[in-house]
Amino acid sequence: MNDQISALKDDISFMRSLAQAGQGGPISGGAFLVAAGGIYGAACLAQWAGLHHLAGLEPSVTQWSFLAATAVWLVIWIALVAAQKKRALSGAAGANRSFAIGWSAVGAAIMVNVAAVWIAAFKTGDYGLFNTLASSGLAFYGAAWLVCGAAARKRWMVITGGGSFVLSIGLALLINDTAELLGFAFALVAVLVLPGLHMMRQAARA
Amino acid sequence: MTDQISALKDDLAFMRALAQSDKPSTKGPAMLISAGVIYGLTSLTLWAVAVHLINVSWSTAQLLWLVATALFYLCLFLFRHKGASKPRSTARRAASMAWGGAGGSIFTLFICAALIAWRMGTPAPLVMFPSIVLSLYGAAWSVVAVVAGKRWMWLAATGSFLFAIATAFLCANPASLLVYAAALTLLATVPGIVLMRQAQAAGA
Repeated sequence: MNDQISALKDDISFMRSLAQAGQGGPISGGAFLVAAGGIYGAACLAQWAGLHHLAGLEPSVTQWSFLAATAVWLVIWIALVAAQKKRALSGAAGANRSFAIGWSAVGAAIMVNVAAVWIAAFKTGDYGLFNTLASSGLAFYGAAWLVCGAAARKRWMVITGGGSFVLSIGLALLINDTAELLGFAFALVAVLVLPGLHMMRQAARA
Repeated sequence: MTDQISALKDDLAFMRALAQSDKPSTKGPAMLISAGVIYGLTSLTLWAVAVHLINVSWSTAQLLWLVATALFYLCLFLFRHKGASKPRSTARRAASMAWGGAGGSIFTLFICAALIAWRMGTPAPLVMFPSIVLSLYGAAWSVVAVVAGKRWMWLAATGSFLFAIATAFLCANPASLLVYAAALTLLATVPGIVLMRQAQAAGA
């Protein structure tokens, strides 16, 4: 009888530890944020430098920087996904899943939004609509951070989400000014690169 | 022996609480219905103004969005405690925040669109707003669909993205307001009613 109760206790303790495992620990995926923030941040700086004819760059060349950045990002994204699949998820499986779900959903929404802006710009002939993409991108990042913060119960992620919203409004105020590109580069470092590096360090320690 | 049974009871109570805390809430569905009805009716009214069925100036009619937003926030306040139990599982917390995050983004982008329109001297960024809102609905439905594992929620997510493209295609055409009203009914009001009935059946 004692043995049976002891076995039952072990089984239930194991199940409890499984249930709790998804609630803590480091979250992988920081490399995706660092890569995306770094690549698109560099594209912003290149475009800004081109508009100011700095470092021998010209607008006729740097106007393609975002298209080039997207091509580079796609290659790196595929490599990172392949690397991620080889690695087993760490203890925070639930939070890792939520991180992947949140950012994938927001990624899809950003792609749809970019497509919608292209369509609307062509239909109306108002290419100034492209200027809205920086603000909308940051607001979408804010939603992803709030989802991750709630899932992982990490206050710094919720604060990053709030920061993304504030930076989104800040960029709207810089519209039609080349400083918007510098602001966007700064925002990408603040809400993608730095948090991504922090997550990578935490994952490496675990 | 008593210690072992006590530990066993603790573990079982923990897992029971984990399971029970994630019973569907009526707060989320109530908010979805409110958003769908309030903004759907606003969109429909603006369409009627745009095609001169209602004789009000277009700029005055735009104030309806502000009235609708004030009404929606009133609903948010009134429903704040409605059947709301804090989700304990990681996935449920993510799903619960999906709509909160989308709401935060929509509010932020409303301010951004108004600022950009003011700075650029064109209402074009505001015309894009339905498309942006529906993209965010798509993101929120995607998160909820993965967590709940329900096929119809994937349909809602895909439908949101398709409606986002459709409203962009029709932008600057009054028909976009009709399409937006239809999208809000199909992607917020109707799913909200379905989820509300499910939550009530589960005894939330």
